[in-house]
Amino acid sequence: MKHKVFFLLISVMLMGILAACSSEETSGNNSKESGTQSIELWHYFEGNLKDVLEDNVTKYNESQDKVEVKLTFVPYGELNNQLLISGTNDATPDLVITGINEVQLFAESGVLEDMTANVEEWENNDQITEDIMDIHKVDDNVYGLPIKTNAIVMFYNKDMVEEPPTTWEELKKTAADATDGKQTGFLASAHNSQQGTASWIPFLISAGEDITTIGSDGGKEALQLWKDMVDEGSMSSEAVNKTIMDAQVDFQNGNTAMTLTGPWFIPELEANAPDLNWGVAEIPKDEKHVSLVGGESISMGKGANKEAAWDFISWFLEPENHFEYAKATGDFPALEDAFNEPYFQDDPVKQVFVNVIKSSSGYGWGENQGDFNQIVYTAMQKALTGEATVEEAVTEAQQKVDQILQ
Amino acid sequence: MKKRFENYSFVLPAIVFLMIFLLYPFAFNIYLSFRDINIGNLVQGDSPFIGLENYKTILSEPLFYKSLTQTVIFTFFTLVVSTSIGFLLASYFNKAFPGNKWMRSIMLLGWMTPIIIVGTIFKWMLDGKYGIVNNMLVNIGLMNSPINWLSDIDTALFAVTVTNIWLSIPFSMIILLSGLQGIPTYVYEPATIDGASRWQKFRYITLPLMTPTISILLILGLIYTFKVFDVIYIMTAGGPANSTQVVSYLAYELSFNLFRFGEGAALSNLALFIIAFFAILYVRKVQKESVVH
Repeated sequence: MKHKVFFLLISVMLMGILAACSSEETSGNNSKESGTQSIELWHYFEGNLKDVLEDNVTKYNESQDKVEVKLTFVPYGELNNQLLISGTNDATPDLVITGINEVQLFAESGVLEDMTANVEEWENNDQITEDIMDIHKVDDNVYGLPIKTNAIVMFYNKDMVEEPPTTWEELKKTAADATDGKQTGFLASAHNSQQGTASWIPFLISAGEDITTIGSDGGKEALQLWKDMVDEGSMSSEAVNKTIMDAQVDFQNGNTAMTLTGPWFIPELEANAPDLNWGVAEIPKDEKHVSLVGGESISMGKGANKEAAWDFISWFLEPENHFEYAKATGDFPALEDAFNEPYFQDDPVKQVFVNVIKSSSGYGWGENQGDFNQIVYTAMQKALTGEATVEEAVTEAQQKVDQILQ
Repeated sequence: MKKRFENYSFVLPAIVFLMIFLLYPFAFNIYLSFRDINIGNLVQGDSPFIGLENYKTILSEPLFYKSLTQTVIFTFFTLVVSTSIGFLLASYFNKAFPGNKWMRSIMLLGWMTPIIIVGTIFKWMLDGKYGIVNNMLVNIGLMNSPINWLSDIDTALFAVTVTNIWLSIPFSMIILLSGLQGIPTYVYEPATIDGASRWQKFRYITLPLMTPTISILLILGLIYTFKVFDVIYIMTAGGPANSTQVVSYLAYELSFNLFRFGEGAALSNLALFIIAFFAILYVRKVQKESVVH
């Protein structure tokens, strides 16, 4: 009897707690008395990026009285998991800003709303390059739109490199020439993480291949290029343990003449090494200049208030607002009109980025992103540390890719 | 009856806490490990029961054995070296000398520093090209050419182990020091009168009296070191070419990079069973000892 009372009490308490946890408001499309619809937007921006987004949302909320957007900050690194979890109990937000390369992943997992109909009617839909639009699609349906973009390019030290290399052969030669006892010519991340993959994938694509043909001759050559430079000492053998940020530090300290990173590096470079004489160039090519597009996209969560959500998206992506937003973030836009603004076209550095972004794509790996990422950086690490030959490394990678795609 | 109920109500908060924050996640992790749950079916919620399939996948994966071996090596050397050095330092600080407290506090600074900072600094110090470690070793003539400590598959595990040893020493020292301070001086006095040497005093008095403290330290260290994550995450991310891959980091990668939640859960459970095995051994041992006394 006494035990029964005791356990009863515990169960009541537990139920109370669980109820309290699950009864939180369901992503709030509840209307206020004035008829204003309130929608929720999740993002992971901090610092300046957060301020800029807040400014835009305030401006939007004040510009009309039908929809009110409320911002919810979810830390970077948490957002992916939180979004998936929200999908399991129907608590997805109306709007969410995720990494541009994660849209397909979330779309395939079922947490996003199909917005094809809205995008087809949208007057600016032809302003986004096909490659970039494609990484927002699953089975021809659109699940998000880019709000800002960036790309990895080559930063070079003008005091060490006179003319930036444009082909792989030139890269090898320039890197060897710029190498001496103190500095190495080239350093890109070959880290045991997504950062290694992101740095090397442009070389694979430049060879006319992609992840599904990593074991081809092109794939071999792309990896052999890095391996040769490591063997010759013109690329630091520490590359396998350098994140992109580590490589940036080596570049700004003058320890390496060339590195691969994105526009986020520019403010740091200007602040930490104001005297460094640097420039940017496209990543040296085999067949064509390409890079990997990064940035953020906006999507609707499953069960969102689509009408209100689209109202905000279309306002946010009006070319003028979009341009101002990209400008304020220090990143790059995704719409043709904004690309053509003199602000981007007349600046030698920004122009390089714009050209790269316009001719590049993202991963487009969907729900296989995690696996493919790991397959690529594992192959890079094995080949560069000498644990396997280039041939063995890419062949093993090809087998693993085939297994997943089966 | 009423009184009894009142008494129970005092332990209720603790029980509720245990159930929500420990038992539930623990049970849920076991549940997950028997299901095929990944990014493709997480949201739909139709994760099928697949029995021991996740465990089979893990156990047939060569990388699991590689990471397990590396975890064991990492744990073994961390424990042996940090306990030995910790003991030496504890004996040193057990003596009264000017500046003792002051120096002991400085020792603890290392322990109080967040691992993200320690890991990053060690990563810089061990850098093959610009690291201070290579610079010093080459300059004093111990090495002819620099070693890429963290990016060479033969030295990376050694380098992260050394870092972890550095991190573990202060904790070992504090625990052992408290043990040493618990030994009354009068037990040494008869030995001194009987003409026992320093070594004999250490071997036949200090060491036996310290055994319980050392056991506690080793078991705590084992549990803490076996599930190492942060040092690896910061310094090498398991690389190069998986040469510093350890069990807990592998489980993290499976769950949160590859979104194979079932396999990740299975691997964490395997690690848990291994640790639990040692913990039970230890608890048995302690119980036996207390019976004897």
